[in-house]
Amino acid sequence: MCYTLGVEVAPKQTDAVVMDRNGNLLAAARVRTSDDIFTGMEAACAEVLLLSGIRAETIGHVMVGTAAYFDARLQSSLARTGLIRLSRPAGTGILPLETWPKQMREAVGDSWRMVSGGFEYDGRLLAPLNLSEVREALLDLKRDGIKALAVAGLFATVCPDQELAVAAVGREVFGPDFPITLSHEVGRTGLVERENAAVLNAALTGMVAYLAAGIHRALGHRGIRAKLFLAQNNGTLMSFAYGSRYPILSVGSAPAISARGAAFLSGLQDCVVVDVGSQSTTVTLVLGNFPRECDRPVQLGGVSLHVRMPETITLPLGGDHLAGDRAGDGPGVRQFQERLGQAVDQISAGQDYLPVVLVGSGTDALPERLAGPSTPLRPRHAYCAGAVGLTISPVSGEVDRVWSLERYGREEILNRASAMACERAVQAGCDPEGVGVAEIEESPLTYLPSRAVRVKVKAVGSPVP
Amino acid sequence: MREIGVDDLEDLALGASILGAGGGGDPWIGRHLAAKVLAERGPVRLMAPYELPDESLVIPTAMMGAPTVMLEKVPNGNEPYLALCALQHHLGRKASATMPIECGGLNLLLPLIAAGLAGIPLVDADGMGRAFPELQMETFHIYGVSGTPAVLVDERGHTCLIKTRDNFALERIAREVTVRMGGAAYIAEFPMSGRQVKETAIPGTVYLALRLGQVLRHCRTAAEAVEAVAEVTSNSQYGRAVLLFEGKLSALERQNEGPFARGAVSVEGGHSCSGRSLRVEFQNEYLVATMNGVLVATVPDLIVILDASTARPIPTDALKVGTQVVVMGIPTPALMRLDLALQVWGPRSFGYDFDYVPIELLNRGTPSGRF
Repeated sequence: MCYTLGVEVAPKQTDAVVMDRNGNLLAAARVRTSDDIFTGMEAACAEVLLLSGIRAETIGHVMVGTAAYFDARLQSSLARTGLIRLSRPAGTGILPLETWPKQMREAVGDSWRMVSGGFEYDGRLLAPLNLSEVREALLDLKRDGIKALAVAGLFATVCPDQELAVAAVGREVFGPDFPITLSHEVGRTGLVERENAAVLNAALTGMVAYLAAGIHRALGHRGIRAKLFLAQNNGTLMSFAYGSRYPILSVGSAPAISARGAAFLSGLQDCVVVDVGSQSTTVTLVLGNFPRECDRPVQLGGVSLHVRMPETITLPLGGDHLAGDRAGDGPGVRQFQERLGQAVDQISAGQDYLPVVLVGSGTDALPERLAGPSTPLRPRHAYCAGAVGLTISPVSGEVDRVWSLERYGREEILNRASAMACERAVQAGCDPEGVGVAEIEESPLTYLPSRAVRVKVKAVGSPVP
Repeated sequence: MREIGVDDLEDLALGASILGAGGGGDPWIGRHLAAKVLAERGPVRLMAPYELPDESLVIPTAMMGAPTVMLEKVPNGNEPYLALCALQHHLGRKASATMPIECGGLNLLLPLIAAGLAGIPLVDADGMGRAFPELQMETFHIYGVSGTPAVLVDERGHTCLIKTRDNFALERIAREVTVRMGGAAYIAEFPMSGRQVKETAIPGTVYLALRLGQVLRHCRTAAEAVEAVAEVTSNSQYGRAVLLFEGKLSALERQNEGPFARGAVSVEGGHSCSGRSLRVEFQNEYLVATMNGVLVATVPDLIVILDASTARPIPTDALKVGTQVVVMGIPTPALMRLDLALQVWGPRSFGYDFDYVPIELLNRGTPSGRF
């Protein structure tokens, strides 16, 4: 059990790579993405096994990335989802799903109820939960025909008790295996964005389960019985079991894994990665082997959420726009070079000069020499940087909560939060031995006399062997 | 006649975040709620102070407490209007207009809700000229207007009427009530006559915020942003904005003692500032900046930290080590620099042991002293 397989599914092609324990790339294979995606994955795995000459039983881990494929299919991957918001008497100024684009709202079905509930910032009760009101609301949603449920309570990031109580009633009403997402598990302070994340997460639950089943089958046909992991938005990994509960952590993972793969292939810890696709190009900054993250809300299908995603600049130009310009001096190429130069400057604003690494299927359409201070790097296997990025990444778990400094001292808060993050990482499939805290961020809640602090902790480690 | 419509809100919020000098709260929810009111009721008239009849009643409206609480405990959308109504009821008179108490941050947008729902204009003026943390930090207070009677309401419909003998007591009591209400409350305070508005308010700050947002929208680099802001501010009662420093955030300290979030951030100089280091101290807003130990800017002059890659201001609660930044200074209007005013919001009011020196003087003869 000493090899890792990385499989990335993009709209047009599916890549598979085999890496050994020492970070050596043994083989890479590319096939056309099949309509059902699984046939293509199986074919890619078969080919890469052949090329590398290793036996299927020696593969210990299979790391999968499908976000690129599902990017354009987000709306159709959403199940009809219900939401219960625990906020009355407050919260009516912005209704659930109010800020969603119409088509996304229709895709999830616009089924929601607002009931009494919520906490204050320090954990005091804002309004008690009325369980019979909750049950009524859930029965209403059941009649609406929902296939998944999201629960969002005011300040649930401070006290999750009410959300947990609603989940218990939900299991009675819908059954023990019904997908239920609690907002405190997928978001940070900021009700609207956290609620949006919870709804999208619940709506995508079925998709990951469907993926897991299909991939297991496809790999099984080839005799591969390895542990399965799914890419996360921040370029780390999680087990498929964890990914089925938190699909929202995976939907934006394509740029991050491609950036990490590009940095690895070029041997650089810090660089600007330019991923040229057929229709668009993504520019990402990599510092210390990981893409720089965007702390602002991101938009998924036009819906605003606080999910940590890499900061990227996307240009609506790609390989298709440059096709046929071999001499490299046509207007298409010049426009591309200019836009690219601006994007690279913007994303690396003020950093000391960083090398540019070109990856992606569209790089072949680019001329040998791109204008700029120096020649961008085009590492070998650049076209499957994403699949490579999958094989070299750790597993991570994160915790993002608000703590009252009245109840706990700062040291105790950091210790508790760190322990929770490590536990999350282990739940996500991290080897308990060697899991450690990678990052701690604290920020205070401003203008508040009674003290509270938001603490975000990321823990990482190797995938469980 | 000027009006604020739904399409102006994004620019207004952006300008307000510059004038917030690192504080003032994230305006997005206030903007969303104001947008709903404006979409439903039409644009709000922006009234210059000189247009107010001397004897008319103006009731400023705002929120107080933690804007982060508001992001979580989303209001019902009419709270500033309810506060206005409750104070009108107590006074036995309707207000002819409402006004912001603070042009920096969220509180520039919230009075639009009261204005829209009450069908009254918004006065183009405010009492802070930027963002400040305490209720008595108003030109209204400095020049003798009482902050009470004042009303606080919360999302549950609880209403609190406050009458105090001085404005410091108003700040203390209202702050406690706000905490009890859950950390955020909506306030109507400093009821005053049209004449008092003309005599004590800082005029034109709403329109200034709008213009700042309009020019900033097109800026892609921080250098462009400083130039654009300078063009606008040099054509106002503020002074010409200047680039104070550029570099990378290298260290961040936060102290959670006391009521407000104090702290300091260090900027390691890059490009034209290589080899030098800037330290910016804050307490919800940026207060004091020193370069290699020498003072370069102090409150009430505005210190703004812009993210170099987005050209947008970074609030104190979003500072992250490693970010490339540009630090900008904006001289405040003369009205805010008089002795009486400095007693309320000069450096000594924030615990510093030195007196205010205008940013123009501090930077005279230096590369950034292009005043």
